[in-house]
Amino acid sequence: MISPMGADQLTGKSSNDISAAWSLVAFDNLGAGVGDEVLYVEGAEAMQPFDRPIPLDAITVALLDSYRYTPPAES
Amino acid sequence: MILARVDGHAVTSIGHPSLIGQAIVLCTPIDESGATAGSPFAAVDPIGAGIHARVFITTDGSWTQGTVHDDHSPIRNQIMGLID
Repeated sequence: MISPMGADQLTGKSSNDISAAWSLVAFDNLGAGVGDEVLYVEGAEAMQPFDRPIPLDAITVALLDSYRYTPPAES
Repeated sequence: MILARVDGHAVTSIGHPSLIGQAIVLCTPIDESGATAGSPFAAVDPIGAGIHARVFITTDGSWTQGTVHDDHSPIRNQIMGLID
């Protein structure tokens, strides 16, 4: 299960790992563990890696090694 | 397509093969005045947009499959251009 990271999670302003956004169930073929940061895709593109149409709404596409998120101060 | 501001980047070494060699940026949706208008998301960046650049982004996966030359790519978000 995935909790989408909001701006407060990305900047570290919030210590709560679970954002206010709805959590979702995603297919994972990368071996993501609890607490790992991932990129995921939601929507019809989630089933694109498969050879035939399957009923899939979300899929992880990358495990993040690191990231940097620095929105400008006025926002 | 959506308007967004480039607010960061992400580094990955394990992921879908179509992401190899792609720059991944973290973007914040903005409205027409430039104010934040939604939650951050990731996109591939083929044009090298700088930090805090205003960009427009396609969420059309089938178009991105063409630019990454992989019909099985799940990537959706891609920067299409800079907003002057």
